[in-house]
Amino acid sequence: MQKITMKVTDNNIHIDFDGFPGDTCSDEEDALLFFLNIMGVKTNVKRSDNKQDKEKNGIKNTNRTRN
Amino acid sequence: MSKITIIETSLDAPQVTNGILQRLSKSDSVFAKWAKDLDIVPLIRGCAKNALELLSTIDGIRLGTHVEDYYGNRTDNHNGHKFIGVLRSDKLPGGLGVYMEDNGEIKFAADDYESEWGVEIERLQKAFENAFIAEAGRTFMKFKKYQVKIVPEILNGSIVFTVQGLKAGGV
Repeated sequence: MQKITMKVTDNNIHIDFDGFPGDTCSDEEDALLFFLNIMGVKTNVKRSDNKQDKEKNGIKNTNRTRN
Repeated sequence: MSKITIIETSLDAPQVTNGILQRLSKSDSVFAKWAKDLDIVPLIRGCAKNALELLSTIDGIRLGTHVEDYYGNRTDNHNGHKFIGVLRSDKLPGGLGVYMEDNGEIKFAADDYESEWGVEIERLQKAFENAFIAEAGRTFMKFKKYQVKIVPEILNGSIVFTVQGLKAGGV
């Protein structure tokens, strides 16, 4: 299942792409940004990278194991 | 693969980024052709209408057709541009008019005579921008054959939206 979640808050969009094969989520990201631009939404990308292990919605798991 | 993108946004005149369009022509020619041939001004107007309807589902927000000033003068346009719709609330009884310039840029008009009206104008304007971006996201995802739903919520006093698209396939 391919899933896109856009959280639209004041002056920001947080987009989460899940379940895309290979690098196709970058193609989908390009298409979405292009579409927003032609709809008059000015976009300034602050972050765009692959999710790290166990990362959910841009919030990284920062649990540490204490010795 | 999974990816996270965080974007800073504002509303502006419609723009075509040729570099991205060229890339899209190779990766997704069907979408690139659709996007290139779009009659964008009616599409923006439609999204703006949907955004207004979406906001009317929020408690305390009502839709109207006229903006009223401090003296009770009413208008259904700003500088000849007819309002697509007007957002009203108890804190802004005169309303915030939403209209579109000839080039498709969304603009707003209201009377900010009372200082508390100014605060509410800013809140409603941000809420409209958020709803408009959510509706633009819905339009994109529907073209791409996702099943889409939009969920509004109030977060720290702001009206924000989550757009979720699901499509079979992938990994």
